[in-house]
Amino acid sequence: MDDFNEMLSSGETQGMYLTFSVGEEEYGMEIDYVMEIIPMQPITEVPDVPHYIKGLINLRGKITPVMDVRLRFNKPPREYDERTSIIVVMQDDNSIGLIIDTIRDVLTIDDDQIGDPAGVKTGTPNRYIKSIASTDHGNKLIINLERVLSDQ
Amino acid sequence: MLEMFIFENVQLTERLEEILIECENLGGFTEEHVNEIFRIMHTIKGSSAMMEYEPIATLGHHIEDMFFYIREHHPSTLDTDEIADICLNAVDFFKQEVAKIQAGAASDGDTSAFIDRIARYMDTLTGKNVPEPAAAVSEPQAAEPSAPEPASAPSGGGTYYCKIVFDDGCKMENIRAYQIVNTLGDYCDHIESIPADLLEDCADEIIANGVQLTMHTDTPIDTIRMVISEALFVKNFELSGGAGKPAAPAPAPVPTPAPAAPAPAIKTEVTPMEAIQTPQSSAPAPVQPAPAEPKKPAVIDELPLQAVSEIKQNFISVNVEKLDKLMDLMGEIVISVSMVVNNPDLVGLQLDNFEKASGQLLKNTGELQSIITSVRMLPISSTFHKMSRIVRDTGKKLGKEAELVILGEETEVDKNIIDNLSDPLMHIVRNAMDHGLEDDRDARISAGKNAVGRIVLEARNSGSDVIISCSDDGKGLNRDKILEKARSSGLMTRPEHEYTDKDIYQFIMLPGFSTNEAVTELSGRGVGMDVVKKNIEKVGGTVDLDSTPGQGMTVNIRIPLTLAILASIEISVGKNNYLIPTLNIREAFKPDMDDIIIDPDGKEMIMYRGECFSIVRLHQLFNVETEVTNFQDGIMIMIEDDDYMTCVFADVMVGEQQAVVKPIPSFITERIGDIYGIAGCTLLGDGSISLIIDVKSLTH
Repeated sequence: MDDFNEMLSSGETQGMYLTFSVGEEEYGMEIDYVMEIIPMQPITEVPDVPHYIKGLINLRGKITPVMDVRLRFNKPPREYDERTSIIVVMQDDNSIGLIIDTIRDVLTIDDDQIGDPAGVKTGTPNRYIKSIASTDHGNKLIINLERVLSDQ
Repeated sequence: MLEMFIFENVQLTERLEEILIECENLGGFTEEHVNEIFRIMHTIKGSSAMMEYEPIATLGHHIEDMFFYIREHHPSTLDTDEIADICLNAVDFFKQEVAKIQAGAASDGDTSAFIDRIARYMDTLTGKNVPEPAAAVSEPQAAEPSAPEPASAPSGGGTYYCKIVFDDGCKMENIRAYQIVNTLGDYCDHIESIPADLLEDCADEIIANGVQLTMHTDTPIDTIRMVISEALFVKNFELSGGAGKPAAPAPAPVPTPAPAAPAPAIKTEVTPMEAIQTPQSSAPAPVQPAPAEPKKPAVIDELPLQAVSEIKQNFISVNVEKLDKLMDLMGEIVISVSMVVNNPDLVGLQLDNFEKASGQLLKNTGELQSIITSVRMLPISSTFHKMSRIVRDTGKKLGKEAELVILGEETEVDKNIIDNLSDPLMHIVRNAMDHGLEDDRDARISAGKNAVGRIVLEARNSGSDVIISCSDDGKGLNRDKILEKARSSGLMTRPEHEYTDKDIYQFIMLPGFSTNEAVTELSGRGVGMDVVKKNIEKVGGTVDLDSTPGQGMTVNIRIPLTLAILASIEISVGKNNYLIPTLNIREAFKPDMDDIIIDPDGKEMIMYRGECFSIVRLHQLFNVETEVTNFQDGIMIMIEDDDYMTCVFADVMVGEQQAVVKPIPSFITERIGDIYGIAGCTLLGDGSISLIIDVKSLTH
């Protein structure tokens, strides 16, 4: 995990993606969004919130909300384990934690490796996926972070 | 520099406003008042001239002239109203210009109207075409133009050396030195100073070594001496010369030309931000009241004017941002301390020395906390005194007479709260003037009241709250009219007979609610009381109204002393912890099953000490799993807000916590709005996060 964080802080990020898995699939997101990756933390529950918002964590004195990406994608819940991680992203100066199953890798993906998701042709694209990248390490679903964080 | 100027000006204008209102109420000017106004004007004029804000300086100059005349000539007839009016308008003008400057615009107000008015009044004052006073006065003391002192020999020309030392802590030494050099420049052919460029930041050097001047001039030494001695905050100076050597062992001055910056338009002494205080040094201060001649017609005999000079001397001004940071840091320290003291690693260990040391640490941090809190506390008097202006202005506009009575102005409140209090109070006072007081004095007299209305502003402490109330002795609220309006607007949510009079009065704080059909210039648009309420709630306070028909009404504002750190009790429900502010907890007890009442809707209530309270099960409210669902196994906590009480049911009480209240992250509140029953969150000593229970929403 520290390796990842080191990679995050090292300069050139053009075309770099952080990949992670949720269930069977592997996903990716532009590394520019990612502030850091932290292990699972104790979470304080907050009443009345949508089920995929798990609550609040203490990120070095900053109270940060966390969202379970698995639940956001409407997948069945799963026990957190030692591989469960939180990706901290920034949105308008607020940090938000995304709980994912496992961190995979940081990859450089060329634009020509990225294509439209299958759903575009069949008419029902998944709203959280904006494109699919085929890499040497398999296919990655590139998530649309704005939509994942949006309130719909 | 600019910040300093604005700060100083705002303070001075506020003080000026206070004095003027005071004078107007007295119906005349005391010697003290005249002197103080003169001093303030002088400082305003000086500093704005230095900063090259022409309009302020010009107007300040003219008013100063007027008061100079009053001070020197003690005119037998003074039109207090007219003078106060001129000056108050000028105060507004200053404020307006300062606001412009603050906004980064140029100060470009037009002063000609003022100057005409002042000139006209001066004419009546001086008995027409007596040109002497205005002319003589228009060039006040600083510059005694080359008119040589009769006593001194004109042959005193040559080279002089001078070393000037300023008062300790007078601030801006380099600027003060620059002013002196500038003034002296008018008398000298050539002048040099060490440090050479006084506009550079060389205050420290001047504090250490003083300023050394070398002058070539034909002006007699006495004149030079006088000019220097007239400058403010000069602690002492040595002046020597003729043909001679430096007074101090000064290094041969490097022949750099004196800074040729534009000289201020009006010559003046250095401008101290402390001009209202009496310089305690031995230096002669020209703006000091002249030895008061006892003849003072039309001037009221001395009144005990608060000794402003003494109160302010020990004050320093600090940027509020720094204080905010300090406060935040203090909050973090309180948490860190409890993190150390209650560290889970220490559980079960016998650590006598640690206990002792941590006890000391707790005590010290507690003291530190209360001092830091008190640093941010300001007396509410300035806010209250601003209201006298409102009473005066609205009174004049509406043709009503009212006196403002201020009680408990020394009560201290957090700076944050003071800032947020001024607008709501203004609304309330205006409302009282406009709607509260009767429209004509006959109505008052026939109601057996004093013809002059009375508005009382009061502040007092009550527990950890401050209560600020504003009451008038006007006609009071019209219960029926409010009720009617509430009915027609569909605001009644309960059967009418369930509303107490007090409940009904609270309606007027709802948005858009105004029983005043005619919208006046001042109020009556139905924005007002709801804005007041919102603003007060923003700082964690509450507002309520009370009224006795025919006797007037009272607005009570209740605000916490400080917002930052909240003493609270930690409770747990399931695996979650919550905090309840200690102040809102009335008591906690183990319920007796016999006292539990369940109504047909399944609503649970408890009889306790002969009263019936509804029960809120926190595990149900917050949807938390817990094994404690029987009332006997958990604990009942009676919470109260205002006079409303409710019992909440929790698993167990954990202990005391000092909480620094933080808002729920916007990521969550944007989705679901405010969470019912939760007021905020906080970090606890062990680094975990706890939610703070919103007692108000649960009890009301």
